[in-house]
Amino acid sequence: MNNLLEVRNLTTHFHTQDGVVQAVNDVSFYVDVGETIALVGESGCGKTVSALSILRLIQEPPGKIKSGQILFHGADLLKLSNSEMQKIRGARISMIFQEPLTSLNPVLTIGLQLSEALEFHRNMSSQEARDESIRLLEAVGIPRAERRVKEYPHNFSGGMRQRVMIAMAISCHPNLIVADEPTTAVDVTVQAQLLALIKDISKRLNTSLILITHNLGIVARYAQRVYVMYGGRIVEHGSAKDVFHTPAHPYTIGLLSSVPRLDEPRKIRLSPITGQPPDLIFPEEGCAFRPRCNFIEGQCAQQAHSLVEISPGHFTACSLTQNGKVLWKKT
Amino acid sequence: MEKDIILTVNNLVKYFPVTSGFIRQKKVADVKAVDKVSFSLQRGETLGLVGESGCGKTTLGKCVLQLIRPTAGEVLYKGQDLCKLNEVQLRPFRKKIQVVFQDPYDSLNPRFTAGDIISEPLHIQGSYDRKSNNQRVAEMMHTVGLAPYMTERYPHEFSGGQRQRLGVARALILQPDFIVCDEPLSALDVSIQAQIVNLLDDLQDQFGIAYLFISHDLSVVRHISDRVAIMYLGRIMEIADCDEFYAKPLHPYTQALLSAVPLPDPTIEESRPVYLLQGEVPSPINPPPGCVFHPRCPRVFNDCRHIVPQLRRVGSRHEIACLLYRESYPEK
Repeated sequence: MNNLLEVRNLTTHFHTQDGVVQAVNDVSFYVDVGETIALVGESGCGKTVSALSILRLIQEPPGKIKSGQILFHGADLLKLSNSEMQKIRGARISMIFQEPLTSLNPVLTIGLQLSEALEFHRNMSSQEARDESIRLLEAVGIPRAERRVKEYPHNFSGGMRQRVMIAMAISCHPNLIVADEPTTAVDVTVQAQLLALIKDISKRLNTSLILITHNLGIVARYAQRVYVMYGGRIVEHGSAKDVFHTPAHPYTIGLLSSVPRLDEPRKIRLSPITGQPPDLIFPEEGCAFRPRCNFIEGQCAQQAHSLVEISPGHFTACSLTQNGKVLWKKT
Repeated sequence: MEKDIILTVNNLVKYFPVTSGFIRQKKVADVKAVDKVSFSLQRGETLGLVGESGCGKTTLGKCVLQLIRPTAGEVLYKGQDLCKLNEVQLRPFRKKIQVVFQDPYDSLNPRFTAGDIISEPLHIQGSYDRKSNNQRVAEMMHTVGLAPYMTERYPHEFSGGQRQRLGVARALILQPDFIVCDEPLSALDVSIQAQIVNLLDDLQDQFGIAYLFISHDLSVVRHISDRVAIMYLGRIMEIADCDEFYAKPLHPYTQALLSAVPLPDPTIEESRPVYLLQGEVPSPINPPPGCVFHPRCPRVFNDCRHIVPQLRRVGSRHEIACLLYRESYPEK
């Protein structure tokens, strides 16, 4: 096994006034060396919380990683002390956050923010760190880097800020980059540039990538394997081709057919997923997708949440497809 | 020639002044948010307006609504130029031209109940009969798919999709024949977006409303529009019937935008060439001379740097502003 990261049965809950929010429930996934995987789902499905749990960035309280293992190079990150974890965070595993404006410090120059990690993890002097920051900014395609290191986040456009975030994420040559919706705040042309950059860098450094997104197009373009999340659980998992060509969970099917697609003839009507996203405080008995599902049968109410392999490498949590029923026909 | 045109926009211009100085403010430059834009809209038609952020699409929408008064140009509603009217004279026209805003969290008053929100336009238009108003509200709630018992609820008690339904109901109650939809889906989850798109579709079939649908999502625009216009730095670059726009895009900017959209199919994506546009959108304060797109254009040639291309007809309903097609359209 050359798994770089393996998450086993991760459960993360949040204790709030209204009750316990079961944000992530019994989630398992793995990333190989140099591989790109995607976590897909709508807001509130637990994809960001899963990512933050890997880096142990869940605020306690209210959050709590209840159980599970996060094996990185075979060692359980959940058993490390805070100072040991700090040596991994930013150095071996780094993160690109969703909104660069809120994750960059507005009162520090870009150069200082980049240098911080270099001085801490790579024991550079401040002069070395400054030179390295300039090189990093050039590597992510920021023109006039030697002048821009002295500027503040507000001097940068949205796309440029996200490039700074990417520079920061790669500064210590991590083995794994977690990119949490890296392009939701930017336009399509910039999105294409940024993703091509992330992909290119991770290929060159042989870095693995966890891509968190709700955009199915991005998943299809960049990920090798896909995990579909719904209501804090993984409901389908397989290679990108399996999941997109023969989706085996009604939620995946719903997602695929609710978006208008440029690669297919225009439809008269879209087929939305009816109803509302699930309540994570009082989750449904049986399958969580049951209230919104078009294919519902009697057994769905008692179904246990377990992923079953229906073809090599393709797992689903739907009891109908587990029993061999075909729900999707490519039109 | 073309029948039933309800809205015509001619050479619409909106410049925002940039000032410097604290006490004695001096105008130093203009943000050219909308620069000589023209189009027209028929009854029951949807015009999709696409562009990157900062290209002026929202400003254009607000100028059409007269929420921002344009610097120059005409907005003709059934032949009447709205730019020449004052607020009082405009009021009867506001009934006919409504708007659905981007963010259903910010555009609904949190201290109004759903019923108050939907009926407020009636009050503004001077209809105070509570009984008939309530009946209208109930009708509207039903039309947009909200249950009658929700009338007494406040916005925070609704989900994002339901709030956007409230926004649509508010726009609809005065029976408009034209609605500006300014990114109505961007705050919603994918599975909810489809519900609102279908709602807008149904309302158009039912009431014959025309939409100006502003969005940055090319796939949604393709689904909902009859015609599509693409904006870049305040100018329309290409405008065409929807099918032709997506099947035969001519402008290099349109082509680049379409290729930047990733398709949800890994097999297609493997073999699909992607043309990456270099750089970002330049500042509208100091737009490039000549064609505003030339610094990023993959097919730029010398003339592009100093000749401003005008929007010209290349097909029966296909117009484009690009010097590459200078030869193919007849000079006037």
